[in-house]
This record gives sequence, C-alpha cells and structure tokens, in this order.
Amino acid sequence: MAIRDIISGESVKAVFIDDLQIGYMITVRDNIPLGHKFALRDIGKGSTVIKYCRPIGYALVDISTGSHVHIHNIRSLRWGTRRVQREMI
Amino acid sequence: MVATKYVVRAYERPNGDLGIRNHVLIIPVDDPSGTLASNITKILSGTKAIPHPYGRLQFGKDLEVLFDTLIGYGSNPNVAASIVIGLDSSWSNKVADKIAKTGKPVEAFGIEGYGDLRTLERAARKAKEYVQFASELRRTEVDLSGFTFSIKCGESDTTSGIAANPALGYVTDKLYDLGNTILFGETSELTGAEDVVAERIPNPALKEKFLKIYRDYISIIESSGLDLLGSQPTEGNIRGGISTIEEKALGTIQKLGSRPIACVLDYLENVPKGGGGQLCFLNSPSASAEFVTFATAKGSVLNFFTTGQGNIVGNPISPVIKVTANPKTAKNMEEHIDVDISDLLQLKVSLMEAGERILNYSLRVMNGRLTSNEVMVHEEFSPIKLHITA
Repeated sequence: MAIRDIISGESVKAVFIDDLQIGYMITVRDNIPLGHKFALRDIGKGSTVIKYCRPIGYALVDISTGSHVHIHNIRSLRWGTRRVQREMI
Repeated sequence: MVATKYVVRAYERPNGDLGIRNHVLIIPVDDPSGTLASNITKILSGTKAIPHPYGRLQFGKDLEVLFDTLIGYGSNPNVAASIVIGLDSSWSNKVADKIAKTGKPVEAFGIEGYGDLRTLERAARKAKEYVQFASELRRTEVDLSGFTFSIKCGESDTTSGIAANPALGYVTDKLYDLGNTILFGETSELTGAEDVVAERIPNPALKEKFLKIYRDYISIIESSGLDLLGSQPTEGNIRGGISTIEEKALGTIQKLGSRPIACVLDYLENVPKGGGGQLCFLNSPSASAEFVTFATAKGSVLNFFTTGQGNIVGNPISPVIKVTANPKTAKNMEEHIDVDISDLLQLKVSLMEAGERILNYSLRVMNGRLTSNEVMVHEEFSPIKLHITA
C-alpha cells in the first residue's frame, strides 16, 4: 500500500509494517495515490489476491508486479461474484 | 512489572455507573413531541434534546428497539437526569419507569389534554430543577476501570486498516486489561472476516450465536436478490483505495485488538455488568451515526472513531474521538480530527507510540476536555429502524 502518492516509474521500497527491516525494491508501473495498492508480484487472472495474509478478492485479469490493484482488476470473492455473473449474461 | 494505573475524574451515578459528562436530557418518545423537547433547550441552558422521526404506530421488535434506545439514553452514565415527553403520557411513563431504575431523577409528561404550551411550562420547570441539581454534582477521582466505551471506523480507507485501526487495537487491549467494557459491531462490515471474529469467541454457544446473527443478516440482504457491492465498500472507501468488502473487513477488525470476545449481544440484550474487562459484539448497523447512537444506548460514555477519508459524525451525550492516520485528511478536515497519527503511516513512530497518543488524549476527554464533535455541535441521534411502521 502506498504511504504517499507514487508516480509511475518510481522505484520504491516495500516493507512490512510489523518489521521495517524486511523489504525489497519494486518499480511501480502506474500512478498510485496514497492508500492505494500495487502488486508485489505477478498475479495471474483468476488467482487470489492476498492482503493482511488473507484473500481479499481474485484477479479479473493478469496483473503484473508494480501495477495498480483496485476495483478495475480485482473483485470480491463474496459479493462481487453475483454482479460478475450478471455482467457476463 | 506493575501495570500503569490511570486515574480519571468522573461522575459516579447512584447505581455505580461511571460517566464523563453531566447532561440533563429531554427525551421525546415520538416524532411530534420532538418540537417541544427542542423548545425546552432554547429556554434553558444545560439541556440537550434528542428529537427523532419515530415512535408512532411502530410495532413488535421495531418498537421495542426504539424504546430500548430511549431508555438507554436516559440511563447512560453521561446523563444526570432526564425528562421524558410523549403525546400519550402512558408511553412516556413506560420509558421513564425503566430509566428510574438507575436511581437518577426522571419525570414523564404527556402532551394530550394539555397542549404544547402548558406541557412546556410543566416540563421546563422540572428541567430547570434538574439542571440546578446536576450543576452541584461533582467529578470524583476513580481508576480507569469499569467504564463502557465503543470502537468504530467510518469513511475508512486503507490507512484505517493498516495504521489507525491497529493503533486503536492497542488502546482496546489496554482498556480491556484495565477492566473496562469495549463495544464493537458493524455486522455487515465483518463480511470476509467473520470467521476471524468467530475464532476470537472461546465459548462455542456464543460463537454459534454470533455466526447465526451474521448469517441472518446476510440472508436479509440475499433475500432481496441483492448484494451490498454497491454500498459496501462505499464510494469513499473506494476513493481511499479499498477494493473489496473482504479488504474492508480485515482492516475493520484490526481495531478489536487481541483479547477474547466473551459477550455477543443481539439488539435487545443489555451489556453484562461487572467482572473486569470485556469485549462485546453488538449486532448493529455499520452506518456511523446509527452505530454510535446504538452503542450510546447500550451505555458507551466515549466512542473511539477512526477515519480515513474523514467522517464528521458526533453524538448529543457521548463524545466521539476522531482518529486519522491519513495525512491528507488530518490537514483537509483538521477541525473534525481529535488525534492525528499520520506519522504512524509515515513510519516515523511505532504502533505503541501512536496507541499511547490516542489513550492519553482520551484521558483528557474523560476529564472534561471537549471533543471536536462536541464543540462543533455534531449531535446526531439516529435510532435503528428494523422494519415498516403500521
């Protein structure tokens, strides 16, 4: 999650809030507003998106490392499904 | 290591309940009586009214929840005395008789047969007496123990889940360990983390009770052929970067800290008294004003409220402390924010330091410092409505 506004192409360090010593560099591929998320690794279409060590949804398309992750490319595993089904009809 | 003791100056009510404010409350039982209730506050200082749009031709559990809420307000330890006004005096008496069980002064009035003006005079004379009575009540030094608080987040964004709520979770644990009651709820917003909450309930029967409340709620949504995707997460949540209800829920529950949940309450159940710290689930709406109103009716004397994008909610009798970790909100909506912990998000302070800042601020509020919502007269009173009126 971006703790400030990040510009596409910036290289930033990703750390864990529990232990700031553990982390690695990522090149961000989109503009990421403060509070928004980007992928820490490639996420294949249909696979689960993990945050807080738990699934928060699944990928609607392939998402590459550093890309913005939000409602345009992930969906809830709970309440989103029904709507996706409707959209597909 | 001896745990730090905290001393606050509070109002001890006749039944032993501890309050941090000393209001004289004018409670209208129904919607038309709200005008008279508000009029009393215009001619007498030191009074608060809670007008609302309900109370006539409600039935069943819906009516019981409204009565329970009104009784809860009069009984709240932040209230010194109350006046109950209804069109029909027998309904006023029903509410007043329950409030009287707290040992606090309360008087009921009916408008029928008298009209507004004569009722205004009778009720205002009694209210004046109560204000002068309340003005002589004094705060006494007590340990920070045996109080009831609530925790809630609103207009959340990802800064809530990652920083503000974990910092509030630290405060929750601390208040629990000191022997206080902490109320949480927001049934719909637990979706995606309801199993995590269930795992925190050691008693199997209570765990099943919680899951049943949750499932019943979801079945109401699903029976309408809908999901809450359009409203949960909200537009504000989405602007702030929250993408799904699961992400919102996992952020929401960070404020629950880490202690066991030994109390699960449906709408009409009261918070158990005594016996040290407790963390209680309330079956309740996630809407901010409705939750704070409901928690106050259940006895909360102070509400801890984290916000990401900037929520402005308040309450007439129970202060709301707004906490944000979002630096933009701390700046843009500064007048609504009581505690700014955006330096936690920027990794400049630890979670413990941020939590201690919230706790220390809350001690000042308990001792009498006014919150932003109190000064800005944000006094939302939003009782729950369960179903259609007759």
